[in-house]
Amino acid sequence: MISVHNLSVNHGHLKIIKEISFSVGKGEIVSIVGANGAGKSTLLGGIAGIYSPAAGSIQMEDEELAKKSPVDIVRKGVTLVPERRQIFDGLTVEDNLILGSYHRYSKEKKQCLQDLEMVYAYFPKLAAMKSRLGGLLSGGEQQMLAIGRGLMAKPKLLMLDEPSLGLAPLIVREIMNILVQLRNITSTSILLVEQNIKAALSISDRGFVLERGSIVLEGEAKSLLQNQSIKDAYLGASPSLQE
Amino acid sequence: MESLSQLMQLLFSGLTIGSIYALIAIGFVITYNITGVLNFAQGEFAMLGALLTISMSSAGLPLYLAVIVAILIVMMVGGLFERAAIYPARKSSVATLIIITIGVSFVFRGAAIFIWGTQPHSLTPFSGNTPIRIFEAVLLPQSLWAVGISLAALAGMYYFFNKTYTGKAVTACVMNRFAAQLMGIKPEKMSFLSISLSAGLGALAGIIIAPISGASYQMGLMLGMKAFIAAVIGGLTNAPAAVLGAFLIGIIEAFSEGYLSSGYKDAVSFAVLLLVLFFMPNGLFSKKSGKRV
Ligand SMILES: Nc1ncnc2c1ncn2[C@@H]1O[C@H](COP(=O)(O)OP(=O)(O)OP(=O)(O)O)[C@@H](O)[C@H]1O
Ligand SMILES: [Mg+2]
Repeated sequence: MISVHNLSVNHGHLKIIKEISFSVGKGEIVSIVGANGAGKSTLLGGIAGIYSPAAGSIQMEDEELAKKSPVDIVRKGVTLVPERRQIFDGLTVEDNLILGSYHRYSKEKKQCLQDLEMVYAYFPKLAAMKSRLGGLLSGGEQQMLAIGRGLMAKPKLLMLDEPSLGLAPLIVREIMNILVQLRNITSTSILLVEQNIKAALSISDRGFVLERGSIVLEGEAKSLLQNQSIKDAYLGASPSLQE
Repeated sequence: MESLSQLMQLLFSGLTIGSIYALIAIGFVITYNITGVLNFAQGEFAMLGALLTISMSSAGLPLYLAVIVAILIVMMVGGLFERAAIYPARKSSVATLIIITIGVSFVFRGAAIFIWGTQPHSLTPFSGNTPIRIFEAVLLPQSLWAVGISLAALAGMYYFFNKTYTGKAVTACVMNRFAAQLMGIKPEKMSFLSISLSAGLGALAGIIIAPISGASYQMGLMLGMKAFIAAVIGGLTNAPAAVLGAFLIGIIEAFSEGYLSSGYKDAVSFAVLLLVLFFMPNGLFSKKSGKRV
């Protein structure tokens, strides 16, 4: 589906992502976990075209995405649900959603309006507050809105940057369940970046651990959850802080 | 009775000029919101619109056609200005961008002298010159045109930005440029669109004021400055507040012209600007904050 090969992304002269390679198959959920500052957001931004990669390639269905503009990348079917939701505060829930389909709206307006109903089916809460301003929603509702808006782009690969950030465990579970449902129904591939390792790995097929811009560990999600060094580094010390 | 009629008279002329300032001020706000640029060439679009209409109508084009063609030409000039002057410098400092717009305003004025000379030109009023009497005040039909067209244009802008898909995309781009890009919205395209639109509004303002106060190569400077003051009073990012600011400035000017002396009206406007900048740097209506187009 998408395969990233030796991808490097810089911020100025700083090498943040260092020659990373991985792939996500069709209908697969893959997690990238790591501490603050590991470079998770930079990696997703590099794939989405927000930061131009310094080197490496991003192949999606035999097309090269590296160095393409964000618009072209969205059109090719890769959508990023960014860190901290980034919804349009002053626009209504419905306007937020419908703008998610911007790259295809003029060509397939009818289809977009049908997809809007599909998003409402995934997130009934959003349907109940269509005309409320996005900025007035709770954190969990805003995250659902951000994901819904991402779905409106009709992605083949949905990338999510820390969707659990600042949310109560119950809401996190609800969101993770919806992601699984989405994958099961539509075979959308999902690349999930998380600090909440347990929540992420428990719904993933595979996972990677990112440290200072490099992948230091990778494997089946189940086995990563059992991995002693992960337990020590991320899950062991203060379980109450990690979900 | 005499004083009441004078009051009404001044109020009407304040509303007339205020509606002109409002159109240009909205252009300021739209441009600033999308590009972060204070476009000091904004007033020149009014000058170009007025003089182009005068030329085409004296060349025999029906007035309404001359108006439409002039607005379209100025919108293209605005788009060209964005591509040639703003877009290439979009990563420069704010000061650089301001200096660019001031430079461009000189270019527009120079071109206008070249084409139309330094003499003032006049445009026939849209519907005759027979005064209308309302509440003891004598009103020229052109004033009604000015207020009516401005309000219609403002309503049109409101509709565009709040009700149409493209308008919402521009608004989204102002609210969160980063997220808008992730959706495939191109900020550069939105900025092109907005500056053309602002230029069109400016042209419209110049065209409707021309039958009242004439048109010349230098009319854009003062119009632009007054509209800028209105936009600052409104806090620069808030379009409805800029419209209120524009009417406020128009009325203040009319009254200082009527009760003091016409020489004072510009001084009074600039005094208002300084007061606002000193005491309420975020605009008179800053409580309702939040960026909107
Ligand atoms: N726009 C930027 N310009 C310069 N440096 C940046 C920029 N964005 C991030 N960095 C730096 O790159 C490094 C990685 O940041 P990044 O945001 O990718 O980490 P992250 O893994 O997403 O962290 P978090 O879990 O806190 O979101 C950090 O050292 C950060 O300071
Ligand atoms: Mg991050």
